[in-house]
Amino acid sequence: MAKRKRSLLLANVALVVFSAVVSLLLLGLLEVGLRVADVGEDQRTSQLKYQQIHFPTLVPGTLADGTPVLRPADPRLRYQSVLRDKPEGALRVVTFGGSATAGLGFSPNVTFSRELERALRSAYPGWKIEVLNLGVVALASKQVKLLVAEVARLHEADVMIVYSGNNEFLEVHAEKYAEASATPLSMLGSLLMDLNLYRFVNGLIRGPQRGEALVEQEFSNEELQLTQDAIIQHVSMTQAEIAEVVDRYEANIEEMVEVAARSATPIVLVSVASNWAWRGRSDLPDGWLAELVGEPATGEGQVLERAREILDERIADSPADERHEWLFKRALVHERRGDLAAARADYRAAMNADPHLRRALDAANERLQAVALRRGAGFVDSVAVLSSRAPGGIVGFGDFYDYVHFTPRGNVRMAAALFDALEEMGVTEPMPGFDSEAHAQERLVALEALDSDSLAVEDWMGFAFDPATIGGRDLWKYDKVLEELDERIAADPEDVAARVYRGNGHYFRLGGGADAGRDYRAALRLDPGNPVIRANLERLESEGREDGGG
Amino acid sequence: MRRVVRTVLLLFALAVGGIVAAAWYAGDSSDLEMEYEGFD
Repeated sequence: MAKRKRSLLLANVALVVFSAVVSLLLLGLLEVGLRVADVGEDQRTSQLKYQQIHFPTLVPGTLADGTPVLRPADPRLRYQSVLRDKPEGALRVVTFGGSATAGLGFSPNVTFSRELERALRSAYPGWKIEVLNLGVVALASKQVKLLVAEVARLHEADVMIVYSGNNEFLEVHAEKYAEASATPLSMLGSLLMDLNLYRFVNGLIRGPQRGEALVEQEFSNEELQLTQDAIIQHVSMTQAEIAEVVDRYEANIEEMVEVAARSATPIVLVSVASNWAWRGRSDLPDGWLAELVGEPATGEGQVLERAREILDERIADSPADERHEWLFKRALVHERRGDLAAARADYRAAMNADPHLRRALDAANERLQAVALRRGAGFVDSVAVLSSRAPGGIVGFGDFYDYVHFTPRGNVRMAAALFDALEEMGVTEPMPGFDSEAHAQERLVALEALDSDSLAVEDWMGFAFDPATIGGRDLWKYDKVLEELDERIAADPEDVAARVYRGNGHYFRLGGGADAGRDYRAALRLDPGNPVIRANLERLESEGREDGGG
Repeated sequence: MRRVVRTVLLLFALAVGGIVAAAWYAGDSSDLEMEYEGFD
């Protein structure tokens, strides 16, 4: 009896095991079938949500007079349009990159893209000029190359300008952190996401997803919301891993040049500059030098000399991930001593050794330049351009308000260099009587004299009532200005300027046409004779956006 | 034989059901999240 029971049990176990093996084989077959049929392919361009891109980038729309145009579909891109049927002789320039191209921190008027457009319009008043800015916050070269390929294939650009390189380490940092803090559940999730079957089912349940602005994203899992600082406490990159990222960057840039060549579209590769003087949102405390030297100062010369000696030792003795701090301090000491060449070298060394890896490395810029030379693409060395005009040659807060994002002045300088590059490449013709440097100087003087933001939507910078915001180091200052405008209008609904500024903010938001119209009309009721508000409203009305068309 | 087929189908259905349930509740669970922000 017992023997029979045992053999029955064994038979059942064998049945279950056999069935499990067969059903796994069936699952495997299903997975192979899906892969062969390209169903449930991994369409993510990054494991980071905000690095996803979705195609098409531009979708058809019509202006109020029925003119067909193309407008961005991705809400991270600001409102802009190009004609669907490009007119003969029109000049279409498209810029690509991450947040520095997108103009994070300001309205879309404060970008090198818009400054280039201004210069081109001044130089060639009779031309039909379209400058499309496809800079998206946080994109790395891996995503930018896909946008470049799409534009090269579909949008008849006369030139594509690529400024990308500050975000190469974002995804790898997040991946490394996820590995370091993996749980069995997260590993299972990651395993499932590798299956076409899972992605196919997920796609059926959720449908296609579109990009969201970073500030609008609902991050689902709070403990996974990591700041960059938290990440580098847990993650470190070896030199070999950094070199691998730089290799991939070069390959991505090469692919961009390749797709541009295939569609015979000129491309300009721009080296990526950053703020060498950046140490964080706050500078070193006043007494840092005295504290470092640790003895009563006997004249600045001696203090600086002693500080340099101490810093030489610290740099020699410190581990690689701490060296950047000492290099940065030594750069400051060199600068104070007037040894600017040594200061520049140390600032750059500090930037390259910074474990945050959020500024384009010199090594990556060298690769970009090498690709441009090898493939005959246009090249603009933004590092040299900005350094040549910066005090002491040190690229700093004059051109960047934080570590990588341009000030209005930085954008003007970049645009002047790009303008010259387009001329050198033969994309544009020299225009007698127009001098890009003189134009840049005029713009800089105008910006310098600015004490209030413009009401005109084409000039509005996005600092609204507080010019100190221009130099503020907060990445999200533009979004904060928009929130403050809401509060201001709630407190005083008759604040005309606030209404117009908020209207301008809505104007640039995809889908913001109706809100912009409401604000402009409210402002016009309060100040009926104001020609600028009327012009803003007429511009909006001519674009036919108030019924949800963009 | 019929029993074997039934068991195989049951286990296969359970596996697929598990995948559907996981997708329903977890979604793109392996998407990494990291704030995009400046640093000090």
